[in-house]
Amino acid sequence: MACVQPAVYATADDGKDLLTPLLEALTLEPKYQPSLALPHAAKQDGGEISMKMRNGSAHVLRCLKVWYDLPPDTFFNAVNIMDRFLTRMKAQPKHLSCIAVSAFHLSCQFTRGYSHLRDVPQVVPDGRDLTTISQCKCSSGDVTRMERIIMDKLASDLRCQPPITPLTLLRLLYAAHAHLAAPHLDQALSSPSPLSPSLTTLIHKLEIVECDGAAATFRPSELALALLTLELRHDTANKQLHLACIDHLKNICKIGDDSFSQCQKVVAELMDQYENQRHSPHRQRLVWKLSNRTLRQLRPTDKFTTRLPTIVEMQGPVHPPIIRPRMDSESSEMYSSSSEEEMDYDYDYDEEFPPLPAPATSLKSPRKSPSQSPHKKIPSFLPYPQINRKHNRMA
Amino acid sequence: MSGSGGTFVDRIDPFAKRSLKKKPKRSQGSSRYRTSNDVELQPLPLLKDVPGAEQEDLFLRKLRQCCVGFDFLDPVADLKGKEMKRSTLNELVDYITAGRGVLTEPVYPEIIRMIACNLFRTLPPSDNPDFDPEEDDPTLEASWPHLQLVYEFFLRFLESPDFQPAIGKRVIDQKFVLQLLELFDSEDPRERDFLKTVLHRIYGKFLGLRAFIRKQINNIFLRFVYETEHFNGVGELLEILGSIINGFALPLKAEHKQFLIKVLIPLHKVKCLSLYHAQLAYCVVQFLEKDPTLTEPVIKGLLKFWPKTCSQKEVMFLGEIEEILDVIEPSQFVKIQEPLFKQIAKCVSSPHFQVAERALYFWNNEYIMSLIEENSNVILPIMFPALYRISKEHWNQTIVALVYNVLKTFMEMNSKLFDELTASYKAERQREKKRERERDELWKKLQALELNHQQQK
Repeated sequence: MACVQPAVYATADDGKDLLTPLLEALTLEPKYQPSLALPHAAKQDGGEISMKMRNGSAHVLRCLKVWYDLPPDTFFNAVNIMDRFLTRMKAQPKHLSCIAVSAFHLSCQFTRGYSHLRDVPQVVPDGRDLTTISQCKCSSGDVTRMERIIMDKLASDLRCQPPITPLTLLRLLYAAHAHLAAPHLDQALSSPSPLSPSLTTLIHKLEIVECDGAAATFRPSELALALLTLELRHDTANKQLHLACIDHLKNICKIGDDSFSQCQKVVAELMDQYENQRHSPHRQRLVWKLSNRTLRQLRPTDKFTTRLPTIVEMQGPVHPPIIRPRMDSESSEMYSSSSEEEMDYDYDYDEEFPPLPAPATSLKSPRKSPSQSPHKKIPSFLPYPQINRKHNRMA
Repeated sequence: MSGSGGTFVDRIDPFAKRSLKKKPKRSQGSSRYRTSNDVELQPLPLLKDVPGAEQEDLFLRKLRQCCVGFDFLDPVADLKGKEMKRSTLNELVDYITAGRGVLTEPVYPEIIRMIACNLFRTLPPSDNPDFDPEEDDPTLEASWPHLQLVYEFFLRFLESPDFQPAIGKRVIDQKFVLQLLELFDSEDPRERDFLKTVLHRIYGKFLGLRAFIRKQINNIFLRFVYETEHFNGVGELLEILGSIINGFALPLKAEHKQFLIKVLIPLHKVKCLSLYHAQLAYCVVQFLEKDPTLTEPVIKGLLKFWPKTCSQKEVMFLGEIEEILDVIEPSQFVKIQEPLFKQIAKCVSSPHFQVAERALYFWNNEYIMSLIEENSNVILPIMFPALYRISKEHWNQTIVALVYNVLKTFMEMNSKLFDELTASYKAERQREKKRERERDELWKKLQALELNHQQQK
């Protein structure tokens, strides 16, 4: 297939200038770049926030975004605020959930006002509702205070200018790529929509990337481009075209080769986990609050006790060890019949179970239990049947 | 609110189950009445005072004496006779408990005769025709002072080390057992408790009666489920069956499997399930522990009888389902997961908060979570629409918090599928909104058309 050179970058068909916003975003990029220096796992003394904790918080924010049906910008902005705050301040683990929720609340408030989202219906969650539902264990007053601290510490003014996040760059680069590649796409060979990634899917994947602290060391443009590259790999028919486009965009963004290949590796790994997820890699310990009425009776057999010992069914030539059969060998043929009523032998059943004391309703003092014969064997099983709970419930 | 000194009408509380009449004392009933001619009980010497050779004879005489019935509904009638019988019965209980060699062959038929005389009676009709077993106190058996001793005696008899089933089976026959079973309908819980232990011992000792007992219990249950919906002894019988099921030999006989499907599952249908649900659930779970392949028919049966209007019963069913899931094998789980979780999705959406709560609490069960995780690609699409909808719509804050937990858990479990479902759900919602808008537009146009038409006329 001939190597196609992308056309000189021009405006898109609808007259929208694609290059200028991209260059603008690239200029502002360093201002919003976090530089997380968090240890991977929590230290013994528990005094420092670890990367794992930060990732956990990011996932909580992602869930909140889904919960309140908010645009992805809210999520990316929130994580950006949180990451930049953690870059600047060394915070204690016990404050992390408050920081995360405050960042989210701030993000909700500001994202609403951004011009490109004016038409998207958004609800700014109430502070109290947010703290309750996220189980962050802090009050709405704490959140308000933390918001003020965050606003103080972060140099940028979030009111009019949305932070430059991987999402910003993804949108711009996606549009740019679409514009570049569209005229040259070999429609006959490449099948429609399933192979060309939808922006929504890409955004979801980018969110997953954002949730992992390892990605925070890269520039948003690197992350966005790496993800785009990864997705475009599926469209093998137009491989050359896509590679050329990516290369062109890479140059515009001034992304170094080494850095880019590093970034691609990290993104590929994360996407691999995402695609082939078999189990929860991290589980938030959630609080399950139930009403008293329901708690009182969870399982029907919770309050079930019985003092009736098990009665073993007679069957087959194998005798249970506790029974002493007193018949001769010709009886074994009779065992082949399945019904118990066929059997008519002099069994000594007193050994089946030990005699129990009288029921509690007795008005008199407990009676003496019958004397135990010296040659009587005590059955080896637990006389009181219980349900086998193979598996423990969570506390 | 009722004020003091208001008219009677003001004092009626429409929410109370009873009127404001004073609550009657604990009711007692009996169907034993004395004939007018008092039979004077002849005082007999004590068994311990009599030489060993004469003891058997005296024993028999005392047994026969105890066959005389007394009227307990009249508290002052024949006090001397009642006391004599009571002390005799007491003595007899001690006698067979302590003594060895007292259960000689001639004694068996007399013992059974005495027991039958005292116990076997037509149970009196309920004093309270609207007897609600959960709310009202039961009518107790008036002749309990004697009856209790007879039951004690019976139990000691059966449990005695000298008891010989070979002799016993001649007098404890099918007819006897049948009459015993009928007594399980007694309203007196103390009597039913004794009967439970007695029948348990009989079942254990008499192999030849086992099939008959099982069959009769089946009949009682089937009549209860499909005809009368009234029988007081279901719980006790189920408790006995629990100990029997526990001892089933493997592989399970077809007869037992039939019993599970045709009798135990339909028992879930009855309105007063709460009276015996613990015992019933225990039996069901025991069955499944014995033979896990029964899981599919059991779950399908429960889903078939799933309560549609009674929320309390729904909560009970959910509790039972969780118990079953506690012991389910993963291969069986896969077979029933789809229909089961479709029902759970409905429960989660229920406006009755207890039902929704109970269903959502499944996600706090570690084992169930692991099963769901293994099969998240099937279960998540079933649960997702319900959960997403409730998160926006439910009135109860506890429920909303639980739904958040479940959604978060799903998100952690399988992010990719979760994202796909979110995206497709949103797209579907938007399409629906668009259709609604188009429909509205169409109606508006039609209306405008009609107006034009009318104006033209």
